[in-house]
Amino acid sequence: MNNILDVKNLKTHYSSEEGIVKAVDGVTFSIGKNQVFGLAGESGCGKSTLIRTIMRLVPKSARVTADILQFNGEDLLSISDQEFRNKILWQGISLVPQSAMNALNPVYRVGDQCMEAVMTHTDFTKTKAAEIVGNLFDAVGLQKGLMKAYPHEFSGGMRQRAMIAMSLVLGPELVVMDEPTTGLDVLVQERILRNLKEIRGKTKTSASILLITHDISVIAGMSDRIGIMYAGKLMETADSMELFNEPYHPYTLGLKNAFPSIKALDRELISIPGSPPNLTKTIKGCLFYERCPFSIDLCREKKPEEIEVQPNHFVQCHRTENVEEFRKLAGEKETWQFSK
Amino acid sequence: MKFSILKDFFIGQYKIIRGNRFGMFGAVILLFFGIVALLAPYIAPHELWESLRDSNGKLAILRQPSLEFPMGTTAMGRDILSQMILATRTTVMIGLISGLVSIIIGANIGLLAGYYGGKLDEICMRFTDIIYGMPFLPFLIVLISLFGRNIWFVIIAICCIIWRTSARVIRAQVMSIRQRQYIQAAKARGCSDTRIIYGHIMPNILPLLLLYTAFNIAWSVLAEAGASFLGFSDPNNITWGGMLYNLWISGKIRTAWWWFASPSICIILLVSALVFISRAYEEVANPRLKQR
Amino acid sequence: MQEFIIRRIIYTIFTIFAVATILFCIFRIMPGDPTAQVISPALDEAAQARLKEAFGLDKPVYIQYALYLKGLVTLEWGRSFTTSKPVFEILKYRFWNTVFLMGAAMGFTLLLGTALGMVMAWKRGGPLDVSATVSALVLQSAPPFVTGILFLMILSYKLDIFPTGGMSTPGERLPPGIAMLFNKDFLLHLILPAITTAFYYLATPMLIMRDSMLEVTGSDYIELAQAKGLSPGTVMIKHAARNALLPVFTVSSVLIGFALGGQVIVETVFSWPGMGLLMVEAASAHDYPVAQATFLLLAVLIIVLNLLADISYCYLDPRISVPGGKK
Repeated sequence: MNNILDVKNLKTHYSSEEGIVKAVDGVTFSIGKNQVFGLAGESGCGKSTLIRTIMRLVPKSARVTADILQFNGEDLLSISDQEFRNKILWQGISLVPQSAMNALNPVYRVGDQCMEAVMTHTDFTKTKAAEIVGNLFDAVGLQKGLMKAYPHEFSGGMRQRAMIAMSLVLGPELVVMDEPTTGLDVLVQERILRNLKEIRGKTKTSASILLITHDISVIAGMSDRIGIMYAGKLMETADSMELFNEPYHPYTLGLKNAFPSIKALDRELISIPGSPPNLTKTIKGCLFYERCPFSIDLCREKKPEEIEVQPNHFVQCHRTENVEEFRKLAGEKETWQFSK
Repeated sequence: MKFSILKDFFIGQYKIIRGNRFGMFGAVILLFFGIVALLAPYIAPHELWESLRDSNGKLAILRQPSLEFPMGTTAMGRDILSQMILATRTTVMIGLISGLVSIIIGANIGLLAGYYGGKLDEICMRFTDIIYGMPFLPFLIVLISLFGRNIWFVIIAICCIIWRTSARVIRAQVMSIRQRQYIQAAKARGCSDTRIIYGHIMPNILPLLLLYTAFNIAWSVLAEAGASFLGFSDPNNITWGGMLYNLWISGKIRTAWWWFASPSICIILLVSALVFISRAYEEVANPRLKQR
Repeated sequence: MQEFIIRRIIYTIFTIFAVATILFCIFRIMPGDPTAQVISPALDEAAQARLKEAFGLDKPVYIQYALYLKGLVTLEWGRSFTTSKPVFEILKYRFWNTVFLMGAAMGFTLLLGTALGMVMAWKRGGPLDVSATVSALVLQSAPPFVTGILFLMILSYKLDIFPTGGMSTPGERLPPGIAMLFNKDFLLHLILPAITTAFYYLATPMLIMRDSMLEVTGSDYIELAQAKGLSPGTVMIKHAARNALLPVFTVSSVLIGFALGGQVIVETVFSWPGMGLLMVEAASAHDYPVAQATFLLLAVLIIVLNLLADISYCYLDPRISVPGGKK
């Protein structure tokens, strides 16, 4: 097996005052070596919980179960917290957190915070650690002198780059990027994404990337493979070209509509009506039923199984046979104006 | 209309305190002391300086609590219960007056400095710094020893100092409120500065004002008790601190536990009632403190 | 940064000057003979007149004011009415006694307070959190003379564990200078007054540390520190506590100022021969030169400690040194 990450039927349930929150409810996917996996979904769909579960950052009270949770062939379910910290975190899986604005500790120098990661996991001297961090600062386009600066002296874009540099200090096999571009203006977003590609080339990282976003257009150009997450489940998983050219799930069709496309600039943007279901409720049928324009009675009664519609293209939908018709209808505004 | 806003406000405050165990405890105690203070001259069984005799006609000196003397007697044969009740009145009066006066001073300095900023702010804050440099109790006893042991000098001395904390906190709050949209809008409508300060900003800091009124009263009570304990109090009015001073100079602390216990418990109860209420307010203002 | 520090120092000098001026005015407007502040009324008239001239009290107020300021700077603080000793000589050793007691008390308060606050935040909502909150609030409401007397009644009179007051057992001589701080007898005498002070002020650093820890542990940089694979201890201390300490630090400088003012009570209860006790004795005996100088010295101590706290805050929180980034 040459997958970096294998996840099968992963569930993370929290108990809250309103009941059990099924934040992640049976997610299955794999990330191959050197692959960029994009995970897209609206906010609150459980994508943040998913990566926090993998990195063991969820509160102790959360109930995590899975059939398989393997990193580089190593079983993550059986290994102790301490072992996980010492062997997996940052050396194996590193994180570029959602808000680079607040993810740097304001009272320590940025360089020191990067070096801290190196020195926790290796025996390198301070000089050696500083050299590693310095080279990465170079690679992300920050001057080496900025290592001595404090976070408040950085602009948003600079912090983002520093975070990317920090995530690469130990040459991890998987970098998790949680909404790397939120809160930044479009120009900076663009530059960061371009940078990301460059850095991968420059540092010759073979790191796989798990890219998380609510903005499907961000991952379109970056990812090799894409998973569409909705209400704690992966609705559709496919290689990215295939997913964009031949989407199967009505939710994917809807998401595609909601973002501008370069090919059809004059096309009107259509958004999916309604909001995701309450994750504490038990729903018998398909989770997307309430918002789906193509649903039939079966969708309300029975949860769809995951089916492989094409090689390596998985969808959770009862109505995949009619997909040709849906693809046509989904582009029209009237299709999405309905009420149930 | 103004009245109904005030009414809603106080009902809101009541609900805050009601919903909080600490707050409820504090409110009940405060109410109790308030009633005792109001009725003190009518419910105190004896005169303040009356030396009591027991049923055998002997001077009742340092008697332990009994049916005859519910809280015991002092070294001079005076009834501790009566002293306690009358002291409640004096203490509550000093606390209320200095608490209120000092919050008025503090709030106004904070409002003006925070709203106008610039030079005025600089002057007000430097002045507050100076007051922060004053050691509180030493200031109190120097003033009293210079001007005489009179209850009003005690109150004036307390008021001179304790507004400092409320002024700083309120200024900081006002500075953030000043930036808000509705204040800018009021300015654009041509409201006068006075109207903006007292009509628009002040209602927004009312909870903070209440919080610091409670604090200021608590600090006044503690400061007065401290000065009285050191012997710097009005000899014509007994306070809890003064009772402890009498105990201290009589040299009977080794034996007369009842003489020590009653005023001590009262000071702790009254002050902690105020502190508990303020903690209830803080928890409302900052719900994170409560989260589990 | 440097500019900030220089500005703070100028403010400090100004504040000390202002306090001295206020004190001068208070002694001027007191009822009765204003000269009584420097000349003992117990002396005969001829002597009083001689002294009046020597002190320049027959001169106009502004010259008196100038002489007063000059006296302060040159440490000519007059003589005590009661003992006739120079005030400076009296204060010299009283000053250090107060500093030792305060240092011990506040050090204990801040260490214990922050440590407890951390644990309370960790186990928030638990029995320790609730009981510590309640007892801290009650202790905060118990003035030091109540706790102090209670300690004396139980630990000294009843159980005879601690001495009842003073700095040493009568008849025993304390070694001079620093060696005194390691003397067993001295430390035994120090414990009760120090703990009494600490109990009264404990609630503030403790509750602020607790609240600020709760605030900090929810922040993104703590999650990142965890993701970096740091041990929970490192995350807790190096990242969470380090940041949570900032508000505690800000408050503690104010708190030490309050505590220095409150020293008068603790020193009276435990007959600790510091500035607080001297203040009470002098004010009771209307020994104004001593009272005035003690008051000023206490004020200067508070103001200078605040300055030191402000400057060290600069080093603790790098954000402060930004232009305009004043706390």
